Parts: sequence; C-alpha cells; structure tokens
Amino acid sequence: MEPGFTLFAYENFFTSARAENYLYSMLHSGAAVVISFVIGFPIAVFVRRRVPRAAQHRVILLFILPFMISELVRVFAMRPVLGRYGLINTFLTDIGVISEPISVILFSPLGVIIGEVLSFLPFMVFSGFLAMEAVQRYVFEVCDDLGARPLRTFRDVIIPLAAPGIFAGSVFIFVNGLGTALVPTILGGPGAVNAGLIANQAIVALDFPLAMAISAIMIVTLVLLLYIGHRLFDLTRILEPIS
Amino acid sequence: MSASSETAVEVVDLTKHYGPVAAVRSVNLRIASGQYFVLLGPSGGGKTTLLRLIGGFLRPTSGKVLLHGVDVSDLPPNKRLTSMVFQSYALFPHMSVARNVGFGLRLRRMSDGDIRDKVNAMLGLVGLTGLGERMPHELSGGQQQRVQLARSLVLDTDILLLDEPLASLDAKLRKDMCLELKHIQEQVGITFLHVTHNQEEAMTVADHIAIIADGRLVESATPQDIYRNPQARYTAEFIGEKNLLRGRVVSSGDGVTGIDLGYATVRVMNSGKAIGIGADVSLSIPSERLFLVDGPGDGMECLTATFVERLFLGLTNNDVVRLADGTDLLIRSLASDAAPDVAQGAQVTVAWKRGDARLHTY
Amino acid sequence: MLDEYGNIWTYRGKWLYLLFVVGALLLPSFYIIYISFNEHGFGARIYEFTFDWYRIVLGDTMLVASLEWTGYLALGTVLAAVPMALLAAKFYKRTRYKVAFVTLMLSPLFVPADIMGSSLLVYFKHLNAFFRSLGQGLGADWLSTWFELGFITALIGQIVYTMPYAFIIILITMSRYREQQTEAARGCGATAWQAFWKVEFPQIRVGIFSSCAFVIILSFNEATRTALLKGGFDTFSNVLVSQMLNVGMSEESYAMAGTMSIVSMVVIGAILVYSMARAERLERVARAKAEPVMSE
Repeated sequence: MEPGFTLFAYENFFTSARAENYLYSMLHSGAAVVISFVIGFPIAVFVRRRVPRAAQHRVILLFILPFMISELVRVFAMRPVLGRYGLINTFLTDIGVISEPISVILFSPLGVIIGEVLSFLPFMVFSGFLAMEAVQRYVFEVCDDLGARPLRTFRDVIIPLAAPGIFAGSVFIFVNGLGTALVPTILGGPGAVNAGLIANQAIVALDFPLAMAISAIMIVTLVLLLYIGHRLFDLTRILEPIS
Repeated sequence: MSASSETAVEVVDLTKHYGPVAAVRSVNLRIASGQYFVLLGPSGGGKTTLLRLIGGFLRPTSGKVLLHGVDVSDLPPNKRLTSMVFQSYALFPHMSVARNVGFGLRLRRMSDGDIRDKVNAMLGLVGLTGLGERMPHELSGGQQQRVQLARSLVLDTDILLLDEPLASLDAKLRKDMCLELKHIQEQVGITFLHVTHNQEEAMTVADHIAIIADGRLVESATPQDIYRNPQARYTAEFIGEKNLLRGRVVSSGDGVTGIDLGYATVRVMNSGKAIGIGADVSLSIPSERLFLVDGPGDGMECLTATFVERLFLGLTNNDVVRLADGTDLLIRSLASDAAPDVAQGAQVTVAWKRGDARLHTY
Repeated sequence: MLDEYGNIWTYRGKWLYLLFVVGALLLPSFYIIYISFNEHGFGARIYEFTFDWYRIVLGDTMLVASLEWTGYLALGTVLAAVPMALLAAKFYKRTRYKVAFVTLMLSPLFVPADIMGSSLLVYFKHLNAFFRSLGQGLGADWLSTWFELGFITALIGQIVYTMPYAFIIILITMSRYREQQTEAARGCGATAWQAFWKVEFPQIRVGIFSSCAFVIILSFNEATRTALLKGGFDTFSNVLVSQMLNVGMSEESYAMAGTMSIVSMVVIGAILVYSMARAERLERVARAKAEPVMSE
C-alpha cells in the first residue's frame, strides 16, 4: 500500500458489480427489518401491556436466550433446518404437505433474509420494549374509553409514540444485516454478497483501500439514516427513561 | 430558643447560575447559632438551591459561604460542619436502622461499643427505641424521617440542614412531626436550617423566617413580624390570607399617607417612610381584620362592595366581596360569632382600622 | 393479566405466540446439539445416541487450546469493559452533553462485525507500522511489537464491541438509584469513594454482575471481529468456521458447535440464575421500600 490520496477504491466499488450487490443486499436487509418488525414488535407491545410490571424484564430476557449461543452456531444451525433434507423439509414431506423438498429457502436471497431475521429479531423485541416505555398505561385506557379499534390505536397512537425506539431498532438490524458476512457466506449460496462480505473478502485479499472504502460507505449510510431518523422522530426521546 | 450573638451561617453575595438561569442571586443572610431558621418560599424559588450551597452539594458561581466565621465555599460536604436531612429516599436501604444511624460514626472509626451506645441514645431522643434492627422499608414515612434525624444528630453536627423534610408526609403526620422537630431542636440546642414552601410549617417551628423567591432574599424577620408587619408586598401576598390593593400616593403628612385606588381614596398609617407623591404603592389588610359594617366609623377606613358568597370552613366563615374595579376581598370571621347572612349581590360596606393596614413600597 | 375485561384466550394465545417465537429462535441450535449426539450424523434415518463426536473434539489438543484462548479473551474483556462502562455511566449522569456522549458510547452497536473488524485491523496495521519505525529510530526493539496483530488487538476489538452493552445495562440499573443517598453519605462525612463503595455499589451490584455476565456471553460467542484481529492464535469459533467452510458439515463440526453451545449455556446460565435469584430477593425489598407507609 502506498500513501497518497486517491478515490480509486471508490471508483472500483461503484463501477463493479459490487455496487449492484450492495443495493440488492440493502433490499434484503430492508425486508429483514420489516419481517422482524411484524413478528417482534407485537410481542413487545404485548409484554408491556399485559404482563405485570415486575415480571416484564424477566419475560423480555427470554429473548436473550438465543444470544447465549454463538452467532456462528445460530447461523450455521440453519443449514440443517432449512436444507433439502433438513428439519423443515422432512417435516413437511412427512405430513404430506409437499412431495418435493423446497430448495428456495436455503442458498438463496430468501435464505439470507431468514438468516438475518433469526439473528436479529431479539433486537427488535428489545428496542420495541424500550420504545413502548414511552406509551404509558393510561394511553391505552384512554383509547379504549374513546372506543378506538385496536388497529386504529396501533396506527395513530402507538407507532408515533414508540417511533424513536422502533426506528433505532430498525437501523440496528438494517446496518448489521448489511454488514454481517456470516449470513450470506453460510446461507446465501454462491454469489450472495453484502457489504460485510465484500469488506471481508477485500481484507483477505489484502486490498485494504477497498475494504476501507466499503467501511466508509457503511458508516455514511448509518449516519445518514440516524440523522434522518432524528429529524423525523427525535431519537433522544429513547434516553428519557434512563436520564 | 433565643438567638445568641454568634453567627452560625453567613452567606455573602451568594450567587448560583445554571448556564443562563440564575437560581440564586446575590443573597446576603446571617443565621445566628442555636436558632431554628426557616427558608420559606415558592417551589423553584431558590430556597433549596441556597440550602445545598450552604451544605456543600453545589458550588457557588460567586460569593461566599461562611460557617462560624470560616470560609467553606471550596469545601465538599464531608468537610463541612453541616449535615442534611432529605425529603425522602435518603436512608440506605441495604442497612438496618442502627447501621444507618451509625454510618458516620463508623467512618470515624469509633469503637463498636461507643457506636452502639451513641446510636441507642440517639434512637431514644428521636423516639425510635427498640427499632434498631428494622430495615428502612419496614418503617413508616414519619419513622424514616426520624432515622434521618438521628443519623445526622449523632455526629454532633453543629448545623442541621433540612430539605423539605415533611413534604412527603400526609397532613396530620406533618403537624405532629413539626412539633417534634421543634422540641428536638430545643433539646439539642444546635442550629436548624429548614426549607419549606408550607407556611404553617414555617410558622410552627421557626424562630426566624427568611422568604426566598425568584432567587432573592425578599425579607427576613421573626414569625410575628413577618405576619404583622410585612415590609415587602411579596411577603404580604405569601403569608397569611391578606388582601392587597394597589394605588398611587396622593398625599403625605402627619404619619398618614393618602392612597388613590382609582375608585376611592383611603388613608394608611406610615411609620416615617418617605414616599413621593405619585409613587405606585400597595396596601395589605389581613382578612381577619376586615369587617362588614353598617357605616363608617372613627379611625376606620371603608369601601363599598357587592357581596359575592360565603364559605363555611369549620373554624371560619369566609366572605367574599367584590369592589368597584372587580377586585375580590376576603373577610374572615369566627363561624361561632354567627355573623348574619347577607344576600348575594347586596351592597355592603367593608371597613378596617386604619392601623391594621400595611403600606408596601416594593 | 392486567386487563380485567380482556379475553383470557387471546391472552393465552399471545403468550403462546411469544413462546413459539422464542422457541423458533432457539430451535436450530438445539437441533444441532441433537444431531451432535447422533452416531450417524446429520440426515441419517437412524438415531443412535453417542458421546463419540465429543470425545474426538475434546481430545483434540488444538481445539482445547483454542478454548483456553477464548477464556482468556473473555476474562480480559470483562475486566476492562465493565469498569470502563461504569465510569462512563457515572460520567453520563453528571454531564450536560448527554446526547453527544451517548451517541459516542453506543455507536459501536451500529457498526457491523466485519466492518468493525476490518477497520480496526487496518488501523492496527498502521499503528504497528508507526511503532516499528519509531522502535527502529530509537533503537528500542520492543516497540515494534506494539499493536501487532495478536491477543491485545483481539482484546481491544472485543472491548469496543461489548462496552456499549455493559454501558446500557449499568445505566439502566443506575437509573433506579437515588442520588440523595450519595449526598446523605457525603453529609455523614464520607469521601466520594466511600460514598460510592459503601452506599451506591451495594445497590447497583446486581446491574454490574449482569453486565459482567452479558459481556462474558458476548465475548465467548464473538467470532468475526476476533477472526480478523487475532493474528496467530485461534479461538474455538475460528476453528469452527474454517472447518465448516473448508470441510463442510462434518460430525465433528456438530460436536464442536454443540460444545460451544453447551459450555455457553452452562456457564452463563449459572451466572444468570444466581444473579436473578439475588435480584428477586432485592427486588422484593426494593418494592417494599419504594412505597413506605406515609402515615404512622
């Protein structure tokens, strides 16, 4: 490596197929965020609303259990579950729902998305839980009293109040999804890449400028997202319970 | 307890700024040894800030704090002769009552036997004998405050600071604890500096009251003087249920000043204050010194008003009447005196002895 | 159940959903453990329970050595990250620039593993180059080893990774602590350190231990950053990854994965259970003390 300022690495990145892959991986990460939200956020709402205050933390800690197991093992473990002869396929074949194993859920973009969701879902639950701190009990009581239907309450009241936390959780999942090399390596099949994997490959190939260019692009993406979020939702609200 | 000539606490031009906000502005105050001194004022007015500056929990922006003549402005709380009792949640929850009280003594490396004796003596003084092994969460609010007292007094501190110690207690308990605090102070003889926003509390315990509002010292006097002869308009508004009227000086002489209220002119006794004609002044009249009369009398000032309503409060009848310019006046009389009922809307005359009103130039 | 008029069956349904999601998250790992005990490996029709694979894995001295390194890293990370997080939490309570400080402290959370690893790697390489030339210039050879890729660099990477988590946990615990108690202690004559150690620490101890446990979990299971920053030695995870990618999913791989998971769960589970039991006891006390009876 020779010192000297140059934008070569960026040129390299933007003109190669890598840029396209980066954009695709953003789509996949985005999908992972949405799915995580749909699956995980209702859980956070449920725990905040219906579980007695003293027990709430303990219930949320259930979602720490997956973290007791290495990220590596967790991702790695999805192969025997999602594979052609894996748990899901044998189960579905055994009960007669399908006759041919589904191969699209592994070594494909869908596999990557599933992998990301399973890896990062607990973060959505946690940040949703923290975000719901902003929605106090009486808000629900007022909504019930005024006769609002659950979906309406959800859309017009809960989401705006919990927005900062939801957004923070989403950014976390999005960025980590973009940057984790493990998931596309193990579950993505040939040709699956995201920013993290590119950076990793660059390092292995000792192409440090490229790796750093990717890192810089990632950081800029992150800062931009956080800035936009802050302007939209005032992310400092998340800090209120702990100030 | 009479005030001795020795000064326990003195603050000189004490100021505290939080960024652009001034919490305490150039306060000068002297507190004599052995007194029960109360800082009274509205919430957010600076009295707690002042107390914490004296205790060493805050650093002054400018000015000095002197304890027994020694400048302690740079000393942290553990190096000052003061000790503080807080409003709530200040007992160490992981220690028993006895260990709480003995905390400071253990820091001084006193022997266990001595500590035990002192702690038991102090528990006796505050009325908690036998409760040494209880944990704080097993005690009632009043008992918790007593433990705090014991914890501070056992250190032979010279000056006890109390930050709204009774604020989280309910009304009945507050009254009882008030008297207890007074008796303990009389027994122990040290200086108590007590902060509160509650008038009645202040009047019950204090040997001397200082009114702190908007970061400034408004007035400092004995409870009797503060009630009967308030100098500042603010004091008159804050203490006692007094009626305030605003007007302009139109005449002055013979110790009597004439005030034009706009709809009438009244005269007020003026104890030698020189006031220019045309100056804006206020007049305060205690509500218990206002009467409904049939007509003007000797040495009385009077105004016409319309009767609004009467409220029966048990001890007093509170009558509200409205003056020509829409200001309401409050008249209080003992309900047992059975003043006759008045019809709503009726024209009445209110009167007071000229000497009962007070003039305020600021 | 907090809503007296709510339907008990929807409540139970939601609970079931919650447990189902947790189960789905954990299922793959447990499936691995299940497979690892199978004589015939993955995909075989017959299941025969055996310890064989574990015997092979644990008999491999290289693998056991890598477990040791994993342990040292975890220990080093805890000893460094938790006290720093505690200092950071105390600073946060006092400072006026809360938002900026929190953004700084939590930023590592938003940097993905590979990016963090790569960036730190390049950074260390440059630092090392600098110290090498400095060492040559001053004739001090020992300087050349500074920031060479190795244990220290991997340790630094893990500290940066885990500190935000420790910071959040300690902050949340400290938010329940009342500052008046420190002031009361100071008023009784305690120095700042005495007030912290005798009054504050006993009350935030639970939070500190939880953050220690969490940091150990994170460090133990961390693979990516360590892989990039470690230099010569191998941690258990690295061996597993290389095995997996090169050789494919052998039975040994399953046993290795199983070993990691079981060790994780046992060690950390024990810490968690212990601190939860303590927390339960303290919580009962705290709940009572938070609402003292206000009339005698």
